[in-house]
Amino acid sequence: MLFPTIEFALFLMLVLPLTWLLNQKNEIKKILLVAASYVFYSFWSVPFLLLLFLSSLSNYAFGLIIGRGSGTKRGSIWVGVAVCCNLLPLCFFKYYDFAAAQIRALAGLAGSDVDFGSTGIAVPVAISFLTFHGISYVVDVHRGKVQASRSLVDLLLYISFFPHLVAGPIVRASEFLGQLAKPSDPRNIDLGGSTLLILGGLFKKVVVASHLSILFVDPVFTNPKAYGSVDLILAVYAYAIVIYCDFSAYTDIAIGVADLLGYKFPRNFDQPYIALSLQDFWRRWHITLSSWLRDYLYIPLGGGRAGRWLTYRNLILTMILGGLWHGAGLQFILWGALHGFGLAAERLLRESTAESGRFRRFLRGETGQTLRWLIVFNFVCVTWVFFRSADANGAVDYLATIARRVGDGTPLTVSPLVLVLMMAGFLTQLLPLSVYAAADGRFRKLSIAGKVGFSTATIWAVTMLAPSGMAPFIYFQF
Amino acid sequence: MPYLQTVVEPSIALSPGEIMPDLQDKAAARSEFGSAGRAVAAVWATCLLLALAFPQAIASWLDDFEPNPVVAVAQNCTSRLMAVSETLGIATFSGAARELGKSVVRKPE
Repeated sequence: MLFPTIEFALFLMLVLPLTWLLNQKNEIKKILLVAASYVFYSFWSVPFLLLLFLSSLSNYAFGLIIGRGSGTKRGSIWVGVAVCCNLLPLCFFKYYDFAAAQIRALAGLAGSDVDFGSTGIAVPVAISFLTFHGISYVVDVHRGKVQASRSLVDLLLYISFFPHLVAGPIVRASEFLGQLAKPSDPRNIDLGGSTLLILGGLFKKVVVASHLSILFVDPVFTNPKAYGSVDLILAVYAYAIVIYCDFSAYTDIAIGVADLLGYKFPRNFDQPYIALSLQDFWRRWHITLSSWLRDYLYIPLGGGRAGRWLTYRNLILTMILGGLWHGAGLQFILWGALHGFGLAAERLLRESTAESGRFRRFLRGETGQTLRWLIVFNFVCVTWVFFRSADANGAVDYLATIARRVGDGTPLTVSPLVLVLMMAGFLTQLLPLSVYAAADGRFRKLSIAGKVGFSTATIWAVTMLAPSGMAPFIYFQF
Repeated sequence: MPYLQTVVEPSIALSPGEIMPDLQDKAAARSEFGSAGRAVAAVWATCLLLALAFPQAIASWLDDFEPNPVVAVAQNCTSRLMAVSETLGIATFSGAARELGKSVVRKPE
């Protein structure tokens, strides 16, 4: 079930009042939300509901066992077992075919014929986010950051809660389980804020991301040799807009819907394309994933405490694994590796120059900041080519075609509409936060009738401009 | 003097909750119900207005289902909604706006 659909509107119209009617009967309300979440997931796949349930059940049991031996060696062994059990379905469904193909190719190079076959099963929707939530829960119980949940219903809801189930944001157990302990306080509903998040999300996904994909990005990336260098470069920037508008739209709507139901989710994006360093970019892009990778991968690897070169290794390894998480393909590994090396290079530069030296002073100045923004933004855009391409060769070919086609006179195909959509997408990044705050303030002051009128008009306008048929959100595949 | 002391020292005075606990609880409950009610009302009103503004979307969505009694009832309701919307001129306006929207975002040949 996609958010911008009639199915979801009907689903929300039913679930929202029932949730609040049962608010004072907290246990029944949670059972209702678990049932609603399972219905939501069943629109994708009924058989994989069992996977969702078993994942929650096993993490519940692991939580109780680990909670009893928290901080002991026995607890550490159990947390290792729990992490492996969480990774097992992910590895099987997502990486088995990829690993089997790589081994087959390597064996083929050595002249032997090895065939591990294929699972023949499509990757279950939400499996990565399921894994993230499961691992963060058992590890946090072990670290003593959260108490093991005594309630199976709480854990079922934590893992399967429909707003975050399919594509995040990744909500930590410590942020969510506490909210389940007692009835939600409806006075905490931020009606103005959540409505704006939902409306903004619909606009970003339906109008900007969908049309930019259909009209420009998909055709150019499918057949780059048919386009000139300017089109190819513009398509890279357009894809940067598409992936931001698509993914941030999903998480914005998820945060807004969760808020209407009385639950708070963490923020997931903060104008990432205005970042002045790669480190800054990762603090603004998919914030809940970056902080997850930091807390459950980078720090356990030794983080920044292990000495200079080991820190660089940890950064690169974390980003490569983060890339591999996005998809089983060499292009994702390269995407992660590029970011890892970029982050390591940035750190090396920071550590080998004096804080008050001329170079750092220059970087802090206006020209330096503009230069930093240009480098970081273009670096991020180039790495998106690996992310978007069907395989690593496709990405290299794409970049090589840009270089080959410079000045060859191929006519420009980009339409004014595409440029307008790109502009609209960039505006979401470049507008100062005070503009958003002013709009938010004005919207909050509207009466309930005014809010309904504005919402109806916005969704109506978005519907009028919607493409026929809605493509799933990009992050559903991860 | 003890009387005056009670008047000037708030710590000695009883809180409103102690004097009228029922009234305070009811007021809080009303406020809670009001916030949730506003959120539910906003979502329902927006969805219903959208259905009235562009009933064609619901009609074509229902056309994708296999015929069954529930779908038949829904289609019946939608055709009535469509009639109301057309009487008000909204469905016709939305239909024209949708065609315009399609032409604006049409992929060039």
